[in-house]
Amino acid sequence: MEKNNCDMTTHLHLGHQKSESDSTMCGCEDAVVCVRDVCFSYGTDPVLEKISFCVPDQTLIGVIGPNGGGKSTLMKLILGLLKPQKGQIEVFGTPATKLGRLRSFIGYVPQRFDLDWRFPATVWDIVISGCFTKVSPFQRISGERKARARHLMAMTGVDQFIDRPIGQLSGGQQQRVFIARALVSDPKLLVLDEPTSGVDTAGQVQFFELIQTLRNELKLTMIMVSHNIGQLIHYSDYLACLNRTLHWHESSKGLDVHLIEQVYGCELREYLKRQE
Amino acid sequence: MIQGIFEQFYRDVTTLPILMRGLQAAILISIVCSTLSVFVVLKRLAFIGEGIAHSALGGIALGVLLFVSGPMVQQSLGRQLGIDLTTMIFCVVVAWLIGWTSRKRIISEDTAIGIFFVASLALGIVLISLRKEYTAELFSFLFGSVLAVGMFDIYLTIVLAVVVLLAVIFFFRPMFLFCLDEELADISGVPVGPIHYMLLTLLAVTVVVAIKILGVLLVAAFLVIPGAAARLLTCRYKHMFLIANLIGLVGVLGGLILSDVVEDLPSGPTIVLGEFVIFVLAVGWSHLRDRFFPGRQLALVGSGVVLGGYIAIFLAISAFSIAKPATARTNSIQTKSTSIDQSDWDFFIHSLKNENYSSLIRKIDSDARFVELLARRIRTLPIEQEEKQQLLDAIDTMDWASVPRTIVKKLEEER
Repeated sequence: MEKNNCDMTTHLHLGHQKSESDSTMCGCEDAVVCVRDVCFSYGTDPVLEKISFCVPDQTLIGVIGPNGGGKSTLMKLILGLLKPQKGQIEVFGTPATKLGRLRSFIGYVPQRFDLDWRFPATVWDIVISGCFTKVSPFQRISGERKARARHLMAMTGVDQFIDRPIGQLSGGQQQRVFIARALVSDPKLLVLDEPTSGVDTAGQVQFFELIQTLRNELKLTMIMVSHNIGQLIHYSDYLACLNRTLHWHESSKGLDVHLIEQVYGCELREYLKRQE
Repeated sequence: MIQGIFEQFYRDVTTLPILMRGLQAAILISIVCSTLSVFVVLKRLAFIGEGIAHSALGGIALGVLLFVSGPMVQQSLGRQLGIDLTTMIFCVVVAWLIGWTSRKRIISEDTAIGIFFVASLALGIVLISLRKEYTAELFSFLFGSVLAVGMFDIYLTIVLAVVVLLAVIFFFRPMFLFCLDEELADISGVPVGPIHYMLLTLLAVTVVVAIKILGVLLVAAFLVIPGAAARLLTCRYKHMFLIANLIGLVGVLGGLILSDVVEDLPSGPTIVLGEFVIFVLAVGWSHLRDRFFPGRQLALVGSGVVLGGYIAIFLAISAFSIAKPATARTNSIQTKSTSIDQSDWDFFIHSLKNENYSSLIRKIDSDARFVELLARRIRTLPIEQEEKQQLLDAIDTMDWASVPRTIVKKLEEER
């Protein structure tokens, strides 16, 4: 197993070197994800057109945009679940659809899904399942991994529910369990798909603080799709505003309301005022 | 009295190889189906199991058309294998088509099942009507019988059980993720497509093997009830497999014993009804547990209460059926256990004489008592030991055509 990890690290390192040279073309260095001239359509309707951007190491990219703007499609392309009709997507310097075992270096937190409340798994089962693909079928999960899982559960504040069936937890609690699960395999890239949908305002603030803590402590690169523009501009390094085409925005420059209005295609000043 | 129930069952199983084979096959099928039922329940594949089972009739009809030329009962092992393989391939193709159309989002899964199983069933009926002479035999597949199990089926079931258990042990963790959320599993590196098709294949093959005992109409019960009841009793994935298997085993044994002890009770439906009772008890227990012990699972206590409850009901029914007509029953056991009805014996000899094997097979299939008493009568016949053995072998293999005419003549003379 150690040898296995070693191989992966070498591969990742090589990947970085490759992406550095490639990413110079897109104007960013040390990129974990590199998207170049990507076009995608379902049938004849184009969903994404000429999308190009890079996600530098240890940055948090917020992806915003209206429903149907192509956010989820872009995430699926980055995760290698879909293949772009034009252009290239590289993750760790390898084409996203050919990641193979490197895929285990991506942590993914799904949008709140309709979890069967009688699903036979405790919180511990869900969290530890994050490293299932890193161990062989008959191999016991090491004490080290278990300790890491416990540490992550404490960090995400779900350690008190360790023996509770996952279905009995609230939406926000389940979301934190799935974050701990995504992190247990020690990923380099964490992708979160609308993690705060259905979570109340107080829960959303707590959630973004948790993301900030995790980011500082684990040195992660993150891509987060969210409708919470106010929080995202505060916590992210870049905003990818997506509505078929991409508008790249540096978060440190503050919120460009004109750009947001252009992306969403509607008046947002009042909405943002209210959100503030 | 309770001892009497088990003694009678033990005596019947040990004296009748055909019942022993049925018991062995039922236990093996129960292990396979209960294990798969966990996935069926978690992945909501109950309807697909039902669909595959119904479409099997099309496969059986096709197999019969391709491989059978003489009467069904005289078929060689090769032809049996031909029919079974055709049915398996047919069911796997139907299952894959359902899986493929729903994975490619051409149509939704329930629509795909609705279309494919009805089409296969229609094909089956059309093919059967082309060969009218087999209609009765083919329709016996609708309800199945533990007595229709041959040695070949036992070997087939053993192979299937080994394959299913190995697949489940090997893919235990990936299957957990697959059941939890397919997209999450895919991103975690689980080959969800191959796992889905593997599960469909295992389901299709299991259905074909299980049909002989339970029939096309009841086989889905084995693939749903143990898993559904187990989910009510535990919230742990691996415990679900153990509890589902325990439920399946208790259900099979209870059903078989009841159908053996209580006269005229068909085995397949009795097993299914027993499992249904277990499920109802599990629903009741889970309600009581959630009300009085909220947040606790108490899986061990729950399984004990539910299975204990079922065993109590089973013993009560068995005891009641034996005790009710106390004197009549005792007399009937005494007289019936030593001799077969003269009319049944006449029917047997008449069938052999006229080579009317299919009606004899139907009688054997539908009446377990008839087989037992027939075997006992044969053992007491004043004929050579070798000749007796030939007749007993024919009960076992159902190959009545192999019984020499000289023996048939002797039987007639003896009458």
